[in-house]
Amino acid sequence: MDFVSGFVETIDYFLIAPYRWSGNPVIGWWTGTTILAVWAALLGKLTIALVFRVNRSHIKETVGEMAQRHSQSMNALKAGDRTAYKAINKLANEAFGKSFFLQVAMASASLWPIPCALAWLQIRFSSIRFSLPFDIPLIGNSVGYSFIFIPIYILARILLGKIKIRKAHNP
Amino acid sequence: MHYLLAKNLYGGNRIKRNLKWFVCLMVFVGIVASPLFMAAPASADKLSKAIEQGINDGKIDKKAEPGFLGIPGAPKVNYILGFLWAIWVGWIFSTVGAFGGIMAGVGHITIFGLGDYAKDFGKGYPMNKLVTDSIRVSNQWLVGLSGLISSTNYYRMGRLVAPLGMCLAIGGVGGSWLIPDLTAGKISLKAYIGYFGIAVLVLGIILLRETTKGGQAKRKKAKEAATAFEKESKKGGETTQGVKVLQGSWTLMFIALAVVVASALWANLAGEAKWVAYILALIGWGLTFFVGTIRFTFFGVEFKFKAFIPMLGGIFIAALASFLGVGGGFLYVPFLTSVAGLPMFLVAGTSGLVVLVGMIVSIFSYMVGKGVPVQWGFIGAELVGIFIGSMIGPRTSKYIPDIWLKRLFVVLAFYVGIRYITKGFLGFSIVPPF
Repeated sequence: MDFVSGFVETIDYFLIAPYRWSGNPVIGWWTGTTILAVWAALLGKLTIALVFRVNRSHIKETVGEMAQRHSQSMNALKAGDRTAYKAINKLANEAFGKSFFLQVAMASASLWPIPCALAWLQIRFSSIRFSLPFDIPLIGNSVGYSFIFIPIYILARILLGKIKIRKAHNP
Repeated sequence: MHYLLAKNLYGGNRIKRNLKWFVCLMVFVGIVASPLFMAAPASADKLSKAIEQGINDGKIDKKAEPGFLGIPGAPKVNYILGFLWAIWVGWIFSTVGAFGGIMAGVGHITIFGLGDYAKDFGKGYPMNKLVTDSIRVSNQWLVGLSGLISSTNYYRMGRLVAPLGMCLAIGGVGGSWLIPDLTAGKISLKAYIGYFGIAVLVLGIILLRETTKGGQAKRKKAKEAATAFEKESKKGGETTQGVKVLQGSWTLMFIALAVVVASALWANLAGEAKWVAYILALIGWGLTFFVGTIRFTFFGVEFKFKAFIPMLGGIFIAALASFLGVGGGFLYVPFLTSVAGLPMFLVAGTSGLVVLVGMIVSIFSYMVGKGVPVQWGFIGAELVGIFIGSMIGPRTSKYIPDIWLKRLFVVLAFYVGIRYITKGFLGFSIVPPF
């Protein structure tokens, strides 16, 4: 058994429980998927917070270098020194590249639970289709599990963000 | 004329709002709609049809244990290996940057054994096409994510040159559906590997130039110039001035963009009368020639460009990026700095926006239009590996000088490039393992 399959099967019991709470399959589906989305959003937030904490000084350093090179290049441009501007702008781009890809790599910390949740849903619900009240050309009148999960996940992320902002305003 | 100028001068907020909605819509389409359709019958049908054909032709053993994408007998993707490879990718992302995307591609093609598996089916075989396209889409998911982060950050900072991004996107959106349409299923993994190798080798040559004596001297000179202008900066103290657009026909740009997006949607969803999509794309591109010159200021300095130039650049770059399944970022940046002569902060945000739009349309084209499936669990393991690598990178990079990191990647780029080019076009690798 591979790593991810082993992992998802271990937590399967924990994830499926909310789907069975109500005894009604439709209510169970919505409750379970909502809780799954909240877990995915929470886990992502926690991991990204951890990564930012660990990399704090390095981020500060790379962002600082990027901003410094930028203002130097703009000064050269304003002074009319086109050659210096081009040379410094290249350094600024390099600094940006470093800072940007560092942040891209770090951002995967907040998104990793989504494909894991989708992989679990695929194992559990891939054979089930959810009816739509209307017909979409080429798609038909039913959709898969990801149609429900992803919008709920986005909502959960927005709500979690709001809670954080509220806390910041009302300590 | 005065009215138009005034509208452009004072209509910034409206345009910014429109752009915000446009970006939101594209993100929605990419994040919500693509996976929504992914579970639709199209992908299941395509996969099951390819499996069925493989079984009928005796190329797939029905009773074999399911592997990649659930295909019987396909290599079982080794998640631990994928995870370790992703740590390496994350380490590269956090130390030298862009080369990480290339390494992610190398992982998908070689390390996980998918390349050889697809090749075994032979040129033009449905399963070969399906696995090749699935590898491309897996790469694009990782690249699209980087574009999303970049454009969101720079939009917040007011460092996006919206008209420039839009003109690039007008070219890019058309390019990124046209190329998958013209090549998906028509290009075998073997040729794809060859072209991927060429891209890697070109990158290696660029990196090599930077590590030569001449390159180093240039860099030193640039640093000296930077120090001279650092003093100026302290005297001036001007730090915050965003983009102000002075001239450019927004209406025409929005119409042109809407027309090329419509062409992409028609091509992906209508299925029939493909010529309509081609005509729409041509109309969108043609309209850009009437937009004229776009002028804007940034930090009090004026910049201007003809709208059709970034549009043409966008077509070429998105076509190449979408074809290789890698981000166009590494091509947009030199285009915007060298051809358009833009400062870094504008290049960063603007290229991020174009990469995002291009990748969304490309992922949409493959997953919805062509019904190409991806393996979610695998992408999940990769993301975990990448962020762990991103924590290791900063801790190790301070012990390795920049020049040596670059040299390491020059060697890697040459090795990967030569290996893929010879494997793709000659059928065997001239560097080990053969």
